[in-house]
This record gives sequence, structure tokens and C-alpha cells, in this order.
Amino acid sequence: MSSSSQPSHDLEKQEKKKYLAYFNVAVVLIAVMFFEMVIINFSTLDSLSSVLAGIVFGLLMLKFVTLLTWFMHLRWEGSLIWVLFLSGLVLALGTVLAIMAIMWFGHHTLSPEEATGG
Amino acid sequence: MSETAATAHHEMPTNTGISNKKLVMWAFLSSDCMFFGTLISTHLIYRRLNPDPESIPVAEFFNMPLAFFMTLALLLSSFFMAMAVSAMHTGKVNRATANLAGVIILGAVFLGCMAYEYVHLVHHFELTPSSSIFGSTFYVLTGTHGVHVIVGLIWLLGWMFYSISGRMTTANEADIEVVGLYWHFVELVWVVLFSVVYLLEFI
Repeated sequence: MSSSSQPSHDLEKQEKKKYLAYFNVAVVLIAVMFFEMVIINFSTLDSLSSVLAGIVFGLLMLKFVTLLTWFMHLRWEGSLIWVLFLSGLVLALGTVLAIMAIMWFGHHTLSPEEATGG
Repeated sequence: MSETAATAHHEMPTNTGISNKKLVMWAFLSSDCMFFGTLISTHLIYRRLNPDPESIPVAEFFNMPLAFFMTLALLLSSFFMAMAVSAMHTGKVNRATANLAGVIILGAVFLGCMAYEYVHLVHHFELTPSSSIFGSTFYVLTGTHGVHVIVGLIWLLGWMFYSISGRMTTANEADIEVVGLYWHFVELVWVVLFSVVYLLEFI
């Protein structure tokens, strides 16, 4: 084998590994989706609602991270891309959490005295 | 990126070592996260903390098998997109084109299902953007995602025609990678919407 064909052969081998990885990731994500289908059938049990909500959020995180790292190739990217994307993601999550916290803890509205500073 | 690698990919070397197209797309996706973050928080506040004064049986509105099918279609389209990008990396343009066709078909299926869902909600439950707070946040949130899907489909169709006309070469590897990033992000957002908008209504 010539030296010039060696890199392309390696690349092909590497991509073949990636095909298999993508397939496995897709199967896992579909399995998670079916698990979610099962979970919502337990939703009639009020006592389990907080547990089920926790499971749904846990699975959401799992799917999110899996898609980001495998399909979006983030696991093969440099630190600059990580910083770039995560800064936006952290700001977005911070916005969601901050607004939720403000609305949750601040159900009271300002009284006319507070509003006018009186 | 080394000079040799840059030449092999028909791209100019950059200071960051990352293709400018890819860097811009990641920056855009990062800002889009914030955009969807505000929409999702608005929906959550109106549904969870300050719900409609009149109780709306939202769980009855949703056709869950359809929602699962939509999720499956988008997930498979994301898989085909990853395969298309991978095929471009190995220089298999025809295989990439075939995978792009799969992405387009599944994306169109997703949009068709979304249109059906909207028509169903309007005709059977009279749920419109102005009928209730839930209607407003639901249509704005899912509609914005739908617009992203439409933009992605137009972009993919452009590459499809480019490929069919025989002009797509391995030099377009970075272009397909960029459209792939956008498409995966659309799937990423749907994963969040599916849990927050649909699944949480049943819990």
C-alpha cells in the first residue's frame, strides 16, 4: 500500500467506527423515547408525580448531552467550540432559572408605597 | 489546522484552527439557545406558575402517539444527517446526497405532522394563539421551532439541487457540516420542547 493511500484508509476506518457509534446512539435515543412513553402511563399515580418529573428531566439531560456530544461532534471539537456554545447555553439556562425563581419567590407585587418609594 | 490539511479540505487556514463557517454557526447556535431559553421560560411560567384562570385540559389536547412519531422522525433525520456528514468526510458525495434526501423526507414528515396537529387543535378544541395564554405560548414556542425546521429544509433542498446538478464535491465538506450542525440543533431544541411542552403535561 502506498503511503498516500494510508491516511485515506485510516480515515475510512475511523468513519466506519463513527457509523457504528451513530447507529448505537440512535438506538439508545429511540429506546429512551419508548421508555418515556411507558413513564407517562404511570402519570395517574399522584404520589409518583415528583419522581416521574425527575425521571423526565434526567432523560431530557441524557438525550441533550448525547445529541450534543455525538451527533453534533462536540466530543471531537476543541475547547474554543465548547466555550463558545456552553457560554450561550449557560446564559440560556441562567435566564430560565432566574425568571422562574423571580416568579416563584416574587408572587407578591409592589405596593403603591413601595412603587413610589414612599 | 495544518496547511496540508487545510489544502486537502480546500479551505483557508484560520487563526483559530477552526473553519470560519463552523465557528460562526456555533456562535449562532449559542445565541439561538438564549432565544429559545426565553421562549421556554415564558411557557413554563404561564403553564406552571401563573396558569390560565380557566382550567384548560391540556393533556386532552395532545395526540401523544403523533408527538412520539414526530420525535422519532426528527431523531432519525438527525441520524441521517450525521451519516451524510460522515460520508462527506470520506469523500463519498453520492452517499452523502442519499442521506441528505433521507433528512429532507423525514423533516417534511415532521412538518406535515405539525401542520396536522395545529389543524386538529384549532378545529377540535378551538385552541388558537388568541384563545388562551396556553394557546399563545404553545403556538409561539412550537411555531418558532417549526420555522427553524422550514429554514433547515430550504437550506438542505438547496444543497440537494446543488448535488443533483453535479456541482457538489468534497470541497463542500465544511458546508454540509455546517448545515448538519444547524439540523442537529433543531433536533436538540425539539428534545427539550417534547419534554417541557408535552411530557410534563401528563405528570
